[in-house]
Amino acid sequence: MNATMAVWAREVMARRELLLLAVAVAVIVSLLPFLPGVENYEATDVRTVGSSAVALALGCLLALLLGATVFGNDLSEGRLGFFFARPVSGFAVWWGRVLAVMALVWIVEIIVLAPALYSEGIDNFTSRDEFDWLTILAYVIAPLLLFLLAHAVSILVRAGTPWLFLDLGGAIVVAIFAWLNLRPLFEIGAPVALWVVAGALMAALLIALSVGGAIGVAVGRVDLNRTHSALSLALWGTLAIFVAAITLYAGWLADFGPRQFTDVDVVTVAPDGLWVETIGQAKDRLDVKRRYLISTTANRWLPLPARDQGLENGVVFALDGSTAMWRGGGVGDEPRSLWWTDLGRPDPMARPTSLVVSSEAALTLSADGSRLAILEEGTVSIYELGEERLVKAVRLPEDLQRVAVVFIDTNTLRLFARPDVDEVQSILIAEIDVPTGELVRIGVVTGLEEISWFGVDAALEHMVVSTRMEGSLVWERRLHDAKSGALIRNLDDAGFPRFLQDGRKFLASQNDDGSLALVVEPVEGEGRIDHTLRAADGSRVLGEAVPNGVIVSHLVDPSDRTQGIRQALFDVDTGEMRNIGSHLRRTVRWFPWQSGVEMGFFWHRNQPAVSRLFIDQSGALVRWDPESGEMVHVVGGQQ
Amino acid sequence: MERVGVVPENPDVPPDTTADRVEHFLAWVTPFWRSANYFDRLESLGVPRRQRFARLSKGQQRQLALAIALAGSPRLLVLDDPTLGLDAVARRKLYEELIGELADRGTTVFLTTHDLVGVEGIADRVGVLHGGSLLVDEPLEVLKARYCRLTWAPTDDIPPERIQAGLQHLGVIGTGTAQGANEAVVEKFSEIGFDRFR
Repeated sequence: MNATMAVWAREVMARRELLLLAVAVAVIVSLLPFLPGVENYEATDVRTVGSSAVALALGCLLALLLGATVFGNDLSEGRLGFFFARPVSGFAVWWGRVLAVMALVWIVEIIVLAPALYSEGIDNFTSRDEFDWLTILAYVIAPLLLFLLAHAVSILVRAGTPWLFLDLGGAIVVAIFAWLNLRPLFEIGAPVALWVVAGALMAALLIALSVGGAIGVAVGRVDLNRTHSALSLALWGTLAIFVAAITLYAGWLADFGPRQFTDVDVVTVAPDGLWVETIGQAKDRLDVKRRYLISTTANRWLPLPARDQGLENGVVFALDGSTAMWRGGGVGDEPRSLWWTDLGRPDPMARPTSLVVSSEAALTLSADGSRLAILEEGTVSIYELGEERLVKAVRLPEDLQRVAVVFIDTNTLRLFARPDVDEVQSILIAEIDVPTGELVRIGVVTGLEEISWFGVDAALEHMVVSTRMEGSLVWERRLHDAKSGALIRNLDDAGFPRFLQDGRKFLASQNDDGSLALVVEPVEGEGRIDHTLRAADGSRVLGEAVPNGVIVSHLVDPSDRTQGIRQALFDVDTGEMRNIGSHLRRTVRWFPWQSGVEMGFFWHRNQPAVSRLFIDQSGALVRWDPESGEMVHVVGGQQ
Repeated sequence: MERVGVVPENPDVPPDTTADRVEHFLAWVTPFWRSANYFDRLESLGVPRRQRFARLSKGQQRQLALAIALAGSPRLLVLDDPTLGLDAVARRKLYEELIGELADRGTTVFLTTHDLVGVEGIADRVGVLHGGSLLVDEPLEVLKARYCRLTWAPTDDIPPERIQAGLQHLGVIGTGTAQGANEAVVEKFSEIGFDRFR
């Protein structure tokens, strides 16, 4: 320790001119507000920004220069012998010099920051949004890392021994492992885990460079070549150990299955409810989430790649539940390969295809899963899925923008489109004949001031459009033919009507006394049914879980909200209410009950299946079985 | 290294440091450091204390390096070609005064040099290095007794083969002529062997 301190003191004294340099720079920075062109800015801000930037830049530059020369020059010119001829160990020489250089660099940074600290005040400076742990890391760790890196590179280059091949190979291997560790976390979208692993890699690099440098000096002493070999072996050996451990940890973070889920989110559900796309977290895995396609009835699952935000990037199911399709992994705007699975098999496996789509392409499967339609950049391409054979590609007219596509049958596609012209509010309806590729405009909803949304029934026969007429501030609901677009009648519904699976219109609204008014009526003709639920405030209809049966959520005790909520099945024909559970919350919370094309342009014929899934109090995904009336555990929950 | 002093052929004191600053550092790390001895020697030799090492003359640099080595009270002093660049007076002063003084104190001095004449007067033991190999390592007197230069007038009375055989017996390592006489350097000289040669 004594020798280390002696070396430290000697080195600091030998380079004390750097402090004078820092003072000169600080004076210059403090005069920045007087420069022409910056007089319009606050002097305090100019000094703060200027001194912060210059301090960091100067600190890093000094670290680089000193790292490249402090040991390298003395080794090249044979001056390190001065230390080794004394009772001073190589480790004392190394640490004494490193600590001396870093002390000088950090003091230089503080001196250059002085104008900002003085003009703004230390309290104000440190309370700025930009001043966080990252800032401190940058000023403290970045120069240290640069110094150590510059030293290592300086020794490698000066010595130029065959150990250079180990260095180059080691650098490449470490870079590859770093990429392999970080990329999956980036794809998954786990920023905390990403920072932890990246931070661990950075710390490993710092430690390895320090150890390598110390051993290089201690073993190599005055011999440059021996210093190189000792540094290389110590550096890459240390780094290999750390990187191996970090790789194991990063792999463990993402290595968990649905059985280990503690929190579960449902993204999409197959129309028959037998499979769900879920994203879940596990204990101690930071913010890493895994995505799986899980069977709701059997103990099976398929791993899925991490997906981008946005429901259009979820799993796409065939209407008969036979097939599921999804995009492969990727980041940002990278094109994705398509994968699919046959859900009818006892043990479905993920199958890659040769098809590659952009992250913005819309996918639709035919009802039997045999054909795939891809809407991408104004073109609809239809494929035979099993053979991956392009059947037809149809270029859409330019006025058909914001398009939703659905298979009527395997040879017919229906398109609902909105023109991309702000003045014209209309819904264009068209069909594509797949064998010929002919696009036929079959209908239009037009003459409206503004359209907020529209919903289509399961049979694609009727649609409800929410609109506002020119000059009016009131939103109206109108019933149209979903093929021709012709107006059938105006609706006097105050709320948002939905379509039941049998095509009847359903509306839930709140009365002034807090009761819930439920109205069921055919689109045309007689047969309207009115119900009033004396449920308390806060009752909501979640969706049609079984034919003509909707899930209603209401408070257990209206006078005590802490009692939680209860879910019940309400028969819209008989008015019968049957409790099915309590303290449950919906899955797929970010969109309400969907009817066909709604709220933009995605398709949810799986709404009933969604309505039968809940998250219970333990965070587990449970499925309500209509036949038994039981809540069946699917996956997850706090253990 | 606590009781070992080293003076390299090219002094390796950091160029930016002064004699005073070197003293601060070495006093810290050298257990048997004698500051008074150090400063006295510098003063007696006229080496400035506050001038950077790079600005000192070659001779002053060497003197400073020597002062550093001696101030640590070494039991072993290693000198790498200490007379390089010194004139005859300075060389004699180094050998006779310094080294003699150290020897009297019991300090072992290990020096490398090409000045064979100079060390003849002071060395107890001599080694000869060639190509990284130690060819000779023995007391000086033994060495001097073993190696001998023979000179004889050319003669036709004795066949050259007999002369050569005699020289082989004495361990001839080189022959030649000088000023009309024959010369040979032998490494196994002895009186008996020489009588036989004669």
